[in-house]
Amino acid sequence: MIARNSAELAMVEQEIVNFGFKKAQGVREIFNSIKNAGKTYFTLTDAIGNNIYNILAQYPTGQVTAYDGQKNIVANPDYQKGSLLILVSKENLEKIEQGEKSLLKLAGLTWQK
Amino acid sequence: MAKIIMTEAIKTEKNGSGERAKSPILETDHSIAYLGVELSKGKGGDFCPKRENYQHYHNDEFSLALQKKIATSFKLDQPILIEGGTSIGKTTTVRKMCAELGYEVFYKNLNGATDVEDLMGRYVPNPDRKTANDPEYKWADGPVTQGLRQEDGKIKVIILDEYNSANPNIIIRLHEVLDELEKNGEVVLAEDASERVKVGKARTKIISLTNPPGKGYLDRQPLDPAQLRRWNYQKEVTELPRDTFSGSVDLMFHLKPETKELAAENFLLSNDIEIPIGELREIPGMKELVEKYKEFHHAAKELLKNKKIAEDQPQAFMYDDRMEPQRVLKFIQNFYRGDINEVWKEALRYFYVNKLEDDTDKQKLLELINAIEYAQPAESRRKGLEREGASAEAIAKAETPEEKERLRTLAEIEKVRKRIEESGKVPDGFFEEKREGLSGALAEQIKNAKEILGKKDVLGIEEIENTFGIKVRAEDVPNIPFSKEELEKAKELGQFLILRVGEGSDGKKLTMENMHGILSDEFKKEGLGKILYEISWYKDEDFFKKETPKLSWSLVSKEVVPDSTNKNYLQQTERMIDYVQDSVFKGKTMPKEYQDALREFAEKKSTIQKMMSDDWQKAAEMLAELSINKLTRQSPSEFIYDMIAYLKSNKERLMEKMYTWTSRRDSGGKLVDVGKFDSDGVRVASRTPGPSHDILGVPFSRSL
Repeated sequence: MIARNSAELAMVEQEIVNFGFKKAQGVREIFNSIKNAGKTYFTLTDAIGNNIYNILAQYPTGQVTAYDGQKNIVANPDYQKGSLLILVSKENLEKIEQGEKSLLKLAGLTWQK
Repeated sequence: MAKIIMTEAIKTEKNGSGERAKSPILETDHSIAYLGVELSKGKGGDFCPKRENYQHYHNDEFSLALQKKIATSFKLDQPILIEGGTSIGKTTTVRKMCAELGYEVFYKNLNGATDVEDLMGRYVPNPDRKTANDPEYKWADGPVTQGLRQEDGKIKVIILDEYNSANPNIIIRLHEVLDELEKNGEVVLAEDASERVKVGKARTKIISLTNPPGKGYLDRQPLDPAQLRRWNYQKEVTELPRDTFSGSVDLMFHLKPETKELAAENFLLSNDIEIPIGELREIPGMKELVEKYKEFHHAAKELLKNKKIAEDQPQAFMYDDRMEPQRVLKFIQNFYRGDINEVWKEALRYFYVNKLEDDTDKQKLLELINAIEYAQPAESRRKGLEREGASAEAIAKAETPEEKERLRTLAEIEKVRKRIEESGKVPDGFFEEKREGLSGALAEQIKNAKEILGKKDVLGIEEIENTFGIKVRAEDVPNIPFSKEELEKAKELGQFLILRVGEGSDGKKLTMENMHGILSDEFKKEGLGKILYEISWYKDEDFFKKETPKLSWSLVSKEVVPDSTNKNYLQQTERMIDYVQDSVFKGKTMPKEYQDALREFAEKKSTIQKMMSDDWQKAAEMLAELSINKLTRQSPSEFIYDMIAYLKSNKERLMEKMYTWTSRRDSGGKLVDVGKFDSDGVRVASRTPGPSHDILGVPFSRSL
């Protein structure tokens, strides 16, 4: 979800919390949410870290693997029950897209208010 | 016509070829066939994707063709690199197949990965550490290593996503992995300092996925074409074909039935068992087709070189002289089912046409492939190109430059097509067993030498074959004559070990002239520059046209011998004698030929010294004839051979700024020196023995 600015981002955030989404603070929480078919959102800043990118690139492909600092781990998304929402402001999205990792090329459905 | 079931595989108890030719995806208890290409199932595992996640996957014509390509590569145990747009579903398709087949997936996105450890593994704090005696750190496999480990019954697939975003150090490491996998060898976990992981290509499949450079992926840089040669490179579309997209949307909205007819030519039926090469050669027509294939390969290379095909593809690639024939052979072993012409055509479509993006380019190669026919009835011969009137007259009459160019291309294709049709000899060596890795004493010796000198400083059969595109007869290669102590000393002195051969199994001699001819284009394509700088003054000299390296194992210094510059030829020879005594054979008994050579020098030195001022030609002759110079100095062809092999194998140039004085004279009697091997090519000069220079030295070379 792309918000026009940070004020709108905060508003969207509140709305999706009302829909039962929980905020993920980092990669581990995103991964666990995928594993447990949770409804999670994550707010991106102006860059995508390697670990998050690795997860986002895999999420639409039916399986997500990652490295948890000790071993390789695996999660199988349940698209019927679980959801993963990525929030980003337009300004940050533009910065991201100027870098090496494109978010838009990975994204499934994209919604802009 | 077979019906496509758009969402799932058809399960059956029968898996005969008749059934496989009818069902796009046919599943039995033990296998699944994708458009006829049958793969054995694995036993699953924690990293196997869940099948239910792909119940809405549409097996449309496009995705079936993609699955057939992937299945073919898996069947042939060949690493595959697929280049295509993000939206075409490359990763999803691989995972969906793995879910059906029960294969585990180990995925790594190379975008942003900077350390080899991210792929191979690293030491991490030991979470089980309870006492001070427990190790503080433990080794943790990265996804590639985990995918490489052989576990009973498991089949694993390593997916390397966004391959063209990888750092060069990662690519180099992956090449080492691919090389070991190809020969079912061992990957040494250098990151772990010790462990050797036994790997096998039947149980580990590697697939790289990459977005096309440019064309909306402006941050993606093209890969070096040489980096592609290890991969079965398959070019896919940047966006889904229009009708695929349209059909897919119709299906989502339930506007079309979920079945569709599929023509028989879309199927490729595999054999249960690979046909041995010895049996292949007995198939009528095989020998003739092999010869036609050789012509086709060269024609395809010419088209590529002259930009008649693939001109607009930002990712350059090669039709590799060594890899493509090996792949084609393996394909025929696995897919020949009685129609010799058809299997050849399928193979060439798969490995040659599928590297192309543009339909017109594909058509050009398909025209050539149509000439790959054995006992072709006259009435079935294609007349299309002849009717095109690609004659000089037609070209002259063409109204636009584009039309002229098109007709010229057609004329060229027609010419090579005729050449292919008319050829019929059997190339030597084609049916020889492919070397799966050397066995026996020599293999052990090479392995040991690599352990002592380091992998990059041992250039054996494989490296020489890869460098010069020749085949070396293993039975002709002598054992490595150097002892462990001698190799350790060589390491200390900065030398590398190289197998020198004078010719390939086809009899092609590795003269300077031929090495230059064989490799010049490849050097240019790979961005390595020129091989030789300027040949006009010596193009008729024997050292250029006739002389080849002698079959031997040689230890060669990577740099000139210390303190060998700023010396005339005689002084250099004296310095070399000191080096041999004080460094090479220090503390050891010198071999007899060296003792004799030193004695000879002592006897002739004063005469030569006198001649240096009285008669430089006589001095040059005597110096060139001295045994010590023959034993320790490279010839010009050996120098070129050594430098090219080292550069091609290690991507590292030696003697980039220095010259060496060889043991050869030109037709005018001067002593030939060679060197300065930078991207402008090796400079070759000749001098009287008197002068000296600060960039003219001599490396040590010892051949046995």
